[in-house]
Amino acid sequence: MSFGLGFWAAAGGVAVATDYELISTTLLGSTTASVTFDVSTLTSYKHLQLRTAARSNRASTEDALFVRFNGDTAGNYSSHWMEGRGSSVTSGAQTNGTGIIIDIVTAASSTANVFSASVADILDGFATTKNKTVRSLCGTSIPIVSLQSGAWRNTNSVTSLTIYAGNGSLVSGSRFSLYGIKG
Amino acid sequence: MPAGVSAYTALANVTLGSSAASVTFSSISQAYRDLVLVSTGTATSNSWQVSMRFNSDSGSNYTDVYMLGTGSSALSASGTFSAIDISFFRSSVTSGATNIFDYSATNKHKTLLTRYDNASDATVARASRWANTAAITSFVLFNGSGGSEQFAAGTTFALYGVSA
Repeated sequence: MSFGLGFWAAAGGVAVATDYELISTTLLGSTTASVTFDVSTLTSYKHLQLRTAARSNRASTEDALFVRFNGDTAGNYSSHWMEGRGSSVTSGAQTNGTGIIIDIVTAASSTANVFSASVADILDGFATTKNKTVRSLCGTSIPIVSLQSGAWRNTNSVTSLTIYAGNGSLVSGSRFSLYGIKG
Repeated sequence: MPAGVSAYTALANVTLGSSAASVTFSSISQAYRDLVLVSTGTATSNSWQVSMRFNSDSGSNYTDVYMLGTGSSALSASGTFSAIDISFFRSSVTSGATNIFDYSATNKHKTLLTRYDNASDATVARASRWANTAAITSFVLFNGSGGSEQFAAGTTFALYGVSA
């Protein structure tokens, strides 16, 4: 059974205003230490979502990709993860980190042109009565597939997101797309 | 794209009126950044892996790693194959979603993230890669376990384009 989509594409594939909206995308044209989104004006949304395809220049096969809120570089972040690397499923945690892990990305020793991907949800990011929770599904054929979750132990409304690699910089071609979800 | 416009565009929504050996999506628009395929379905008999292949490439150009929990144990495995598994169909319904990142890029291998669940069987997360920088213009879904079993009537596949 085959479904050709050419007609639909020619017709414009109509996009209408709904409850899941693109905010902005950053596609790196050169190696960059970090990417920051100013989200201070996005309080009409309930949740945010990041979709990333990223790679680090760390001299290794992998690096951790973090998100940090409001420029807070103190140890106010907690992370938990469950991951499969092809032989077993393991779990770990970081209790007083300086960011939340949202992906384990490819790095300089990985196969060329391979970018690890993640879908990370930032839940109730603008609430002022809740610590901020992040969860993500991420991975690529390093091989690793992972479920990550984390918390920023702060009830402030999120005003900015900074994404960075733990032990390197983000290389050209890395892409970060931010979406708003109404609630 | 300005904020305030939907980031998801429905490209196709397929409900099988009768059983089918395969489902192909072709002439996929290159106007989006990512694709998301949502699948919900059953098998005509037995249990088998639902596999995906891009642009008719049947070579051993697909790598995959998964972790799986059955309710009593958890395991992970990886390998290189001639297709990517995106679900596991059986008599009871399995639902899942597959994200295909940067599908229209011509300078990246294609990375996929998939989650699927069957209440009678397991919950699974997968990360996969098509080792090819070509833009994806078509893909086929089929019984990757090799038997004659098919997609049962009522199985649905919804394909979305995600703007960025």
